[in-house]
Amino acid sequence: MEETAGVEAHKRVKTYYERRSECALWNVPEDITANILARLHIRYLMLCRCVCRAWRILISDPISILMHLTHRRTLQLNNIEDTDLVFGVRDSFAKTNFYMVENVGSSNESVKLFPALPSHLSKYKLVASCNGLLCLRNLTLRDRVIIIWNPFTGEILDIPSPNLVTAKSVTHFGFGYDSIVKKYKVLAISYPETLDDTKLVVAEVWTLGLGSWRHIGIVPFQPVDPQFSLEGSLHWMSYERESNLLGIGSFDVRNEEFHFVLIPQNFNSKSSRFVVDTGALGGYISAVNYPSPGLGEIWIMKHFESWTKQYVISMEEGFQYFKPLCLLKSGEILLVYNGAKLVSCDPQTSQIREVGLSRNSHNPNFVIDRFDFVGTFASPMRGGGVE
Amino acid sequence: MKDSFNPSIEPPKKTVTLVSSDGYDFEVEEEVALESQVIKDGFEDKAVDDREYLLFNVHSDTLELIIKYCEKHVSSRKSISAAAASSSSSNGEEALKEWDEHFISVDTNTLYDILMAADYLNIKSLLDLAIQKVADTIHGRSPEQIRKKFNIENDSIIDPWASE
Repeated sequence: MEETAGVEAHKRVKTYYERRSECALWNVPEDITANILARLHIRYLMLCRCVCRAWRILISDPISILMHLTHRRTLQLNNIEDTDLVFGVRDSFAKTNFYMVENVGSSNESVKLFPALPSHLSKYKLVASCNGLLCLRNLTLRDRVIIIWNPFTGEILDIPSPNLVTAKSVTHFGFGYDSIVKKYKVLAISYPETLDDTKLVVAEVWTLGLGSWRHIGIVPFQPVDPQFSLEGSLHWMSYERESNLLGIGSFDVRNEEFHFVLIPQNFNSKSSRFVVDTGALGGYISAVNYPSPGLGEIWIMKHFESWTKQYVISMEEGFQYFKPLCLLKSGEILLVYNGAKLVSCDPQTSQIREVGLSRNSHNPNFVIDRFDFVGTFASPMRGGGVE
Repeated sequence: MKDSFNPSIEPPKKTVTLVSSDGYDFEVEEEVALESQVIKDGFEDKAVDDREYLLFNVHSDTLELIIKYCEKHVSSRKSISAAAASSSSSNGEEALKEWDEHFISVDTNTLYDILMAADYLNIKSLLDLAIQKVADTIHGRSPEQIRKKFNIENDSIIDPWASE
């Protein structure tokens, strides 16, 4: 057989190596080492920093950071590896703890608590997660309203309050990445507390590495929900300013343009108990409709303004609403159930099981912000990208 | 003229000679040698009658393994495309993946040699296979175990894993 020939050959190689055992091994070119390290999950990459100086320098190099990011994102987007999520959980003292749940819903799922932020007395809300950088909103201080934090390197970037934000305005933040020019952008959408037709919704952008807020114009919608991201764009469930109809507003990170699409008009809007929920699922925008009690339909938008009913999920007693988060490697859908519980749901059988933090938590009503997460060593200081 | 496509009277396949760093000659079929992008590029530039390649960086032991890999990939590619043409279901790709898995399950020194040779000869699929194998080996090991496994010198100034 061919295999035995391989074993023989490898035995001979061994003796050949014994002859030159004094040679220093593992002297591979840097680009190959970078390629090897790019395939590692952040938890192993952390350890690899301690292996030798060459590896440590290489791991912190902007080009390898980018290579690692690209590779890890491909693995997660194609569901080759299990999903990681990051959570902001407010405890009874209104302090937020940040957790990372690795391999959500799989047999080797694990929950890790990130180190506390240095300014731990401030209250934070998780706005978004993008490529291992977390965008947090400071709920205590008004002058330093946003921080960008890499929990793995501990680097923190403070961003001052946007120019157009006053004490009497409502602000929604967004955080995204332009993969073409490799820049991170923070978006602030603000509008006056008492919104009437004469007042406008305005937007400002802060590009990481540039250092000032830039007014970019008027937003045609008013966000009502936390951000969700798809490749290269940020989305919110929103009301269109002119018509006051419910839909999905989006921001193209690269071109800095706003778009708005309506959710399907046949959605059940009479029942006020059920809230329409929107999110990203399998790379598409999704929206949930509740045609009758105990039933939830997930619609996805595969092409612009064309919606398809993709999944119908029937839920047990006590069910109010859910929000789809992502598809898992197992084919299950990860949902937030009744706004608090994290569950994975088999779309065929509607069978649900609690995963992640929900599995160990005794308090069923904790408030959570959650985003999918790809751990990297991207630095908020250096603009996150390549200089 | 029914017998015109009889494989037994096919002309002998063109071969190329590869010479390892320690001076051994390996005669391989042309299409097998062309798996290497470096040989392919050289082949296009050179005169037709020059069919010998000196591989200064590849030891005969490694070259034997590399040739085995290329031969397997050339033949499986043929059988996969043949199966696809006759639209018969085949698990050719699965089987090849399994074969690759077995092929790359070697000790660290051999893996190192394959990695370097695949890089030198620019055989993309093999390089990818070897790199993934190294990454899989790193998975779940401590820095000390990684150093030991790959014979890497510890020159870190701060080593939180070193014992007192």
